[in-house]
Amino acid sequence: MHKLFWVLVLSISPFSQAQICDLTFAGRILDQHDDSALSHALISIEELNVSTFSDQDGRFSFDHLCLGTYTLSVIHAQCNARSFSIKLKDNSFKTLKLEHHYEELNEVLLSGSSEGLVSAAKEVIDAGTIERSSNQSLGDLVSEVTGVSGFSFGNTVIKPSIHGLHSSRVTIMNNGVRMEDQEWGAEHAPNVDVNLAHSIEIIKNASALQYSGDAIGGFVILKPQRIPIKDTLYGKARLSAQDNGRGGSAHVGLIKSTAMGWYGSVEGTFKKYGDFNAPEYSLSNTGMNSYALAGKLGFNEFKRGFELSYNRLENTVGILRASHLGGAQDQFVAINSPEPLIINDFTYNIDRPKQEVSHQIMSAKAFVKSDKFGRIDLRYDFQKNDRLEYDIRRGSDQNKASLDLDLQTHAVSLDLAPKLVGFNSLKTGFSGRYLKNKSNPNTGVKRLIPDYKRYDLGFYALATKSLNNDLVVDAAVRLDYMRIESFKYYYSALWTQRGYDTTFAAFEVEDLGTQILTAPKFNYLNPSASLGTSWALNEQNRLSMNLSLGARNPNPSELFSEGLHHSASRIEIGDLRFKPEIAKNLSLGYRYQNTKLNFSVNPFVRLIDRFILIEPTGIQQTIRGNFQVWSYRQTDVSLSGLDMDTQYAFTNKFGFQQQFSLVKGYELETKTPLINMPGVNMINALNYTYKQIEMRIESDYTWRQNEFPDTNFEAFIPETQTIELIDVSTPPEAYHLMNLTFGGPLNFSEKFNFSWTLDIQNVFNTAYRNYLNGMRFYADELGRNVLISLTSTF
Amino acid sequence: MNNSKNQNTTNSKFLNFTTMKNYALYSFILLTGLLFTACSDDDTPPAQVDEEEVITTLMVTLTSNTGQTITLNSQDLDGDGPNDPTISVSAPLSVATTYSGVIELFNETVSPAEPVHEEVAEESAEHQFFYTQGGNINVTTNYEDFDGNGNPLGLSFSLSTTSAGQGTMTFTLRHEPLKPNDGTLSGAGGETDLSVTFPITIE
Repeated sequence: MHKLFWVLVLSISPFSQAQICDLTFAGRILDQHDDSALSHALISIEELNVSTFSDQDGRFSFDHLCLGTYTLSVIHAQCNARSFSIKLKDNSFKTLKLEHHYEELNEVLLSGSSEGLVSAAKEVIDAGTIERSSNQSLGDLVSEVTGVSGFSFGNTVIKPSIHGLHSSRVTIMNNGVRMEDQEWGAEHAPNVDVNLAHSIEIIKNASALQYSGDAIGGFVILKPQRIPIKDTLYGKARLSAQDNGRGGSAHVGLIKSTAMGWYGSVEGTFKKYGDFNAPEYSLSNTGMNSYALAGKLGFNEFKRGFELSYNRLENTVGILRASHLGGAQDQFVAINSPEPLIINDFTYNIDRPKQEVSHQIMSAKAFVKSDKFGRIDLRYDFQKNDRLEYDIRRGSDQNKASLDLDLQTHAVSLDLAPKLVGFNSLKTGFSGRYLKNKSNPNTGVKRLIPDYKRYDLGFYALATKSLNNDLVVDAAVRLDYMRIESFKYYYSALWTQRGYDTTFAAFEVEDLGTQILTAPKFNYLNPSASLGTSWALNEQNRLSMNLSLGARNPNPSELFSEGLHHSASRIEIGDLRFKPEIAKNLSLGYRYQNTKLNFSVNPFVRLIDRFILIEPTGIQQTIRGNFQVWSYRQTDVSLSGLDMDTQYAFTNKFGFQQQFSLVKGYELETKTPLINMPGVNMINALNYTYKQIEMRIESDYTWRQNEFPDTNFEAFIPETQTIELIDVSTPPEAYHLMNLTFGGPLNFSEKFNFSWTLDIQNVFNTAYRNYLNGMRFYADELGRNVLISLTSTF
Repeated sequence: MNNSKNQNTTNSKFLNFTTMKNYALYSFILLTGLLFTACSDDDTPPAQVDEEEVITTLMVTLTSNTGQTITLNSQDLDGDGPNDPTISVSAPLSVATTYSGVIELFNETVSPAEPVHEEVAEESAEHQFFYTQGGNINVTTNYEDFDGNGNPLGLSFSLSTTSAGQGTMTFTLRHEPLKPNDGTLSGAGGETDLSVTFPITIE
């Protein structure tokens, strides 16, 4: 029977958690009336989808948990089911009592001796942080994690970049749905509202194979709040206002659930900002309007359940007016001007250039569980992404979009988590996906991305096993098949120049003179795998290791691009001959933890075969003057680096925190540095709690990126009759930012729980430019921002 | 008794679970099948885009006071495609002559060719041409047409030559420049819609 103690039942948490999340939560289930031990109670951590049974003595235990808040559900045949919210801050033991009546959903605060330390498991962003960052984009929010930076295009279009890899190299999972939202584009922000997430996990390698095999940069996983099974109605409201951008955000959520298991929720977010400003000038046309709406209806009876959900996000984002250029001579002037060439008065209006993006997700999912055999999950998701990009145009086209894409994705998946004695968890699954991208021909602009259809089939299996009390191993394999069928109008000259007319003659459909209609079709079959272990040397020291193999197929942009990319003021050319990128990654982890000090260091080495990069290959004459031509190319590269996190608690009210991250990327053969690798970054912070007020002072230093490929070019400037060097590669200088945060509860109502935050970002109004921002050539980053937010739960 | 009851419960659970499992599996196969067949219905290629924004052709006609006509022509039929523009000048300019110049712009990717200069004229307040000389020539240019605010547009201009020489003339069309401006490209700003350099001989 003691074996049951270790029988972990249902499924999995992402592997790499094992490397950094090593808390144990143990406890004992007792009968409230006579304190007798209750055996065979099923205890589940709903967020992680892990369960275990209590043993004869009523005891149970979960290993490898991250810091954070979890919902624990306990079911026992003779008692009513009960949910507990646990706030895990250290290894903890808790006695849980069951009785025959439902109780209030108490928050069971589990506090260990290290209370006062800030979150060590930086890989999980908890609900509290999300709450404080209600106004931010996902890219902004996750860049707080060591080793993650925001790859941006202005101050509202921000993508998560994990160790220098982003876009289609990072998979974003939103409430179980893999986001398909034209994520290949550097200036396409993920279409998620962080307010709808309860926690966000960041996995810095390709190991979470149950989601995808091509995330060679890593994963960002947004998880919703679990809804308790009891009769209750609760909600939350958040309001924030900030001076930079003169705007704010509002979020309201309401959740209703019943003891029968029925539940429903409605949430909405609204954001509006006008032009943001740099320290010395206004960033004209950088405002943003956004609203998000989400609702779900479901039934959860522990053993079976289903859920229907709908989620919609609408964003209108202004693009810095001064970044819209027409060729090399404009670029020369813009880059050499210390200030943006166009600075207007503040306005809430969003003019061209701008993006209007709508993303909708509809999901239906169901599960069934058996104590004996495990769990089955079946789901269907539909996503629709409508993307409109408006440029500055002439005549009757003025109000027409230059890019009008409609991407629809249908996905089904079946996951099985069988229960086998001896395994902590076991999971296998199949998935199928169909994507259809349509590019509206009425834009009057040659399609940047062609119409295509994509079919994906995937299979995975994974397992974790404790070899003994100190050593856990995990392994996973995955196989993905992908087929892409497209119709593409090529410039005839390019088609022959690249030799496609001989290699891909079979794709030719119709010769139309200057252009040729082609129908490229490709198939890809990729295996991926992961193997990891976590070893607790003793109470304080833990080692972990993960080896993973991932494969990413070339995205539509890398395959099909052949034209002017207006926002980059360059002509970009893809290659139909590209093969998948293959990434081999080794991540190591060491962690030391005692009552005062929490230290972790995570070095990694990643070799990527046939890495796809883009580089300048020439100058093209057009009637608009010269444009630089950038062509995609495949080459073997290496990425390596380390992340370091330190927390030290001087007292339980006063703590120090440091985050350090370093990444280096080179082409293997030429030793040329890779473009857009983040500079070395170090954050030092002091946290102090006075009465109930938490204070944080943070210093954020980013070194200049000294290693970069030289992509400069020369162009003829008619005005001066000179040939000038256009510097599009030199990274900006190092910068140092100071941030202050204050926050605490407001106790003026029994029924409502209020808390407040005052955030001052870039306290000294430092003017700086960020290497990872596509707008760095034209304008400074944001100046000081004072943000006030108020949250209420009821 | 108790035992057999337990057994029963287990059995029914087992059946229940298995049934559910099968349902799940069948639904998955059905859904995948549907997805992959229903969606691959249309295989007709999408329409070719009529490129409305492109300027393929710049034609500058210079007519002297003696009736001599010189054309400067730049044509790039694949727009941003890899082919370079074809540039031609019909004849050398004459010394000490005044020419009246007319600029025409066309989009020849559509048929019939779209006269883009008409759009430019309609949006005269948002456009301006600039004429830049380089090399060993000495000409003076003057605007002959103006927008509604009395600021120069430049579809019509006059050009006067003095002495012989060889050099270049660059015609630049700026969209949304600063108006009025100091007459230089850098003073005007805006975006370059067109920039073509012609080799010029004056003899």
